[in-house]
Amino acid sequence: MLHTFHYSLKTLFRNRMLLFWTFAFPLILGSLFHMAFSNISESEKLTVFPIAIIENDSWQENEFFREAFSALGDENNADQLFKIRYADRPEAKAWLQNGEVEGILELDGENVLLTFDSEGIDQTILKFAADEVAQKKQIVEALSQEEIKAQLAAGNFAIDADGIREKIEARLAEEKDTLQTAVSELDYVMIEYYSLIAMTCLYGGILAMTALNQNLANLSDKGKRVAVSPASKGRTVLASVAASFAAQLLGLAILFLFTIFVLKVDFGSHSGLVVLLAVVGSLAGLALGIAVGGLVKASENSKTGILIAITMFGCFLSGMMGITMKYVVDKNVPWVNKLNPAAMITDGFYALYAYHSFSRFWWNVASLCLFSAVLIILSACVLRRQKYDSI
Amino acid sequence: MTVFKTFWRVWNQNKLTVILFTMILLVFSASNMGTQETSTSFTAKRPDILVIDRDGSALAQDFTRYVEKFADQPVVEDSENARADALFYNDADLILTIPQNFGARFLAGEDAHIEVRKSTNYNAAYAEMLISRYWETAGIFRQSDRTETELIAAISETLTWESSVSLTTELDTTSLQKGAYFFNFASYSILACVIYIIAFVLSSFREQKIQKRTVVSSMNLRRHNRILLLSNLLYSLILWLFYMLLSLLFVGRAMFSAHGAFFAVNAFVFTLCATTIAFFIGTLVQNKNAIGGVVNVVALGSSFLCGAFVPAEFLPEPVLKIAHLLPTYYYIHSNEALTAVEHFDRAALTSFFLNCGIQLAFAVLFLALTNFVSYKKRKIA
Amino acid sequence: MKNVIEVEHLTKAYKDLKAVDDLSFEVREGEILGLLGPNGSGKSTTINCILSLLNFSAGSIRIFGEEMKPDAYDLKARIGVVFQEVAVFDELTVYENIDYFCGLYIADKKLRRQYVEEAIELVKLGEFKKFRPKKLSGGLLRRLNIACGIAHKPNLIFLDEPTVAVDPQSRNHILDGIKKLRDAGATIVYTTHYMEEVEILCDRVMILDKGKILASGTTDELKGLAGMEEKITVESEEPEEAGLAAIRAQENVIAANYRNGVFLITYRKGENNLAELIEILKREGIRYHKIFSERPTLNDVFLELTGKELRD
Repeated sequence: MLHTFHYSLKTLFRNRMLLFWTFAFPLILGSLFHMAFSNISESEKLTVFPIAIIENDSWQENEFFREAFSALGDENNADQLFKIRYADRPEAKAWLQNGEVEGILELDGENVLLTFDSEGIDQTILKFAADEVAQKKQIVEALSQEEIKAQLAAGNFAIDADGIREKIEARLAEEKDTLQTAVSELDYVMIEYYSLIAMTCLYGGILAMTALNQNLANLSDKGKRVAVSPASKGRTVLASVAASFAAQLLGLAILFLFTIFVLKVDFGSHSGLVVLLAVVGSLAGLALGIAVGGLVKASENSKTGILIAITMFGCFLSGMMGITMKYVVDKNVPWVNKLNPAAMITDGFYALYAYHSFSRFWWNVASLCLFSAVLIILSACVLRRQKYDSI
Repeated sequence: MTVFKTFWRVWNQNKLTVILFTMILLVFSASNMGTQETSTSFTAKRPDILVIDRDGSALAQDFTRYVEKFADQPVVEDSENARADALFYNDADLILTIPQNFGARFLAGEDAHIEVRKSTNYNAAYAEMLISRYWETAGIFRQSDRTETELIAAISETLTWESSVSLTTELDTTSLQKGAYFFNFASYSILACVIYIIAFVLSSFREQKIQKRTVVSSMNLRRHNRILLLSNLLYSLILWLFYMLLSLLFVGRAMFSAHGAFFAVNAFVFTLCATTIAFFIGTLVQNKNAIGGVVNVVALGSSFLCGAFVPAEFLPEPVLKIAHLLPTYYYIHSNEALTAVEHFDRAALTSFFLNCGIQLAFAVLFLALTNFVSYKKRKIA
Repeated sequence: MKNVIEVEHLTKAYKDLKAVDDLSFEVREGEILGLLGPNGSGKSTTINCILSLLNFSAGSIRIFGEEMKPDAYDLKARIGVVFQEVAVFDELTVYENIDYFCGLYIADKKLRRQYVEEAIELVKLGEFKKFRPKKLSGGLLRRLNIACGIAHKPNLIFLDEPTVAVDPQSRNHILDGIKKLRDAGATIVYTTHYMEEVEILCDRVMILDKGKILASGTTDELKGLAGMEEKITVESEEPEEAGLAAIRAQENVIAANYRNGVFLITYRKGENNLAELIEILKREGIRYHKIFSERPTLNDVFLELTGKELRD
């Protein structure tokens, strides 16, 4: 037993293809996620984009707007939103058409006119900023009027303009935060990492498949040697598959360490349950590998292809290439992801992270166990045979 | 003919992979269908905001009305898990809970807070900005002793104030957007399918024993290589045609416009470029087992980095810099640009063909690299 | 002499094809039994049935006097098998491969180390111990394949075409090794379609074709069975029908044929066949370049028995 375990480990760890799929590939993919998604969570940090402002009389007269926008367009301002170019209307229109600016701001008396040639984030931001400035202006004017009224009512006819402005500014600054934003909502990039772990769990199936292959006479010539030896078939298979499971868990451990310490992914506080889910997920991967290895009649290469295909497709459905996918599947064809081991793993992590109760988490763990048990028992029934009709 | 037959055989052995990547594209496109209605008017994207009003004061009600003006109120079951789900699945971008006695406390100038839970998408950030605007305004006006009614009136007077927007485009941006989604994602499938099959075919032919046999056979080696090249190109062409048919299905009528034609041309150029990448990989990687890995890394890598999955505007600056080194970036750049092109004037055409040119330059580069590598390899052997 | 293997009425049928057809034979202790037959004659199937790898339709198989079953581990421990296919781990070195497969039989590490070294010595792979199989030539690979099968010093060894596609040097090493195993007391079942190997190596030969035993015995017995004692070859350019007729009229002739400038004549037991033939040729006026007489080979026997060559 130990002998087989030891040598199975050796063969698995020296197989470059296996090492790639179960060890290197998840790390590469994780790094890609990190590169592609690191910005999304900080989407409030907006990029500066060019706009045009039409310098007409209304603009010249509107001091409030001029000041506000020169601040928003100031390169030295940390909150800079725009790169502002001033022009007359035809020139600005030309810029807009060439795509040199994202939008045009024009004042017509008190009215603000915005011209866009497409809709998108940049356009929304410009509209928001323009509205904000206009509304602030309103507030300031309203407050000034109030203040003036108050001073007049108090019999003070020498109105101190600077004093009023200071007062208003103080009031604006004094404003307390009414909104209390909860911090620990699920960062949806996390789903990508969850599906990455699911993928690693399932790719482990390739290891199990290889290990199984080595020991069965109908699958490989090496298996024939095992079959004619006095070593019990059940025990050699068990030892080999155990070795593959150990290798699988090692691969997962490396992935966890890499994502936690290099990519700084936070898997939340339930580390024990995270590990449990990863282990059960690996078991599902192992079962899948054994089932494909034992039940599908094809060359070892094709079987690896099938396993990779199933895994990638499962991960795709559980949100790896865009979280919307998981959403769409869960909403419209929920049974698909109920059968999809990648989704069970991903969903388990999600439940752990986003829910306050654990029922959904345990439900996922249970379905993974059931999934594994069904496949393993099914495979065992077929593979139990000692003699074959043909080899 | 034998070369063709071999090609066919290799394809047969590996069609599963092609079917897989195409399936992924299909499912992705299908899930994108019908998510947006066609529109040409400017709409600041409407977020979904769930307001849970446990207060019921006039102020809270006014706030709810304010929210409803720019946001949709999703229907969510009144349970913690349902709310978590709603946020997670973007059924709700924001969930606001107004606690009991909030209105009274707020008016009295005491600490009063609305609990905000948000999903991390862009809509949520925007919606939160709109909402905080209400309470900032309310906070400022609260300080001069107003009754609740006066306060509400002042707030609404300020906040109804909006800029007017005119949109110069007549484009059906929604279906163009859909087209861009489809073609951007297709870059992943095309790259994967082309590289996988061609690299497999090439490595089959280049396996030393077979290579020797080909060299000593009576067939002219040049002719042999030419036929091989031709079969590969034919395969790419068929794949492209097939994907164009799929685009009719998923993008629809927009494919019959000038924009559609440009999408198709762009995809064609990209397929050519992918074919040369496949040559290069097929020459470089001899081990058949390694091909699957290389394909996945190359296809997923360039798709993630160049914005096939995540829109390029969300990608961080350094990543986009790296993406400039990949042909996929220029392909996707053209697709994105096409959604905003109204008239195919000189500027638009120049930028489109420049991107095509860069892709073709990459193709030439990969061909040169292929020649270089096979030259090196021949010398060693 | 004891029988190590006793096979009775073994039949293995696939759908409508009988791969092995009512086979009965025994293998005696200490002998090398050659199973000779063309590709597809049922040699490997027979061995796989004996080893309990394949289900068979009818018959019984006893090894060392006991019935062979998949879980007859005591029996399996005494058997060594070298399969036709090279079945080794690409990821393991020569030494590790032998050690792994030997370890399925021998649990004791010290003993196993000794056995593995001895197996390496036997197939002369000493200088390749640390090599991975990918780096080995075809012949070396075959030798490794053999070492993996016999390292545990079995009493009964099956060798299924161990010399297919092997260079002469490796073949000699392999054949020497097999003789040494026999000399050390092992009983060996050896399948091949190279009759030269059978003639040098085997104590007894069984000729199989289409799943049936055509003949068995020592090589000499087989030749006797076919009735062949002498074969005379005459190189001549004159295909004379009359000449052939005259030759066939000669006493003791089994068959006479002319093909590609050569007369081939086989004889039953007889004396002075050559001298008589020369007389006949002279008389008929048939001119010839070379003429020689030899003992017939197993191939001739096979040709006689089946009407086809052993190797196509």
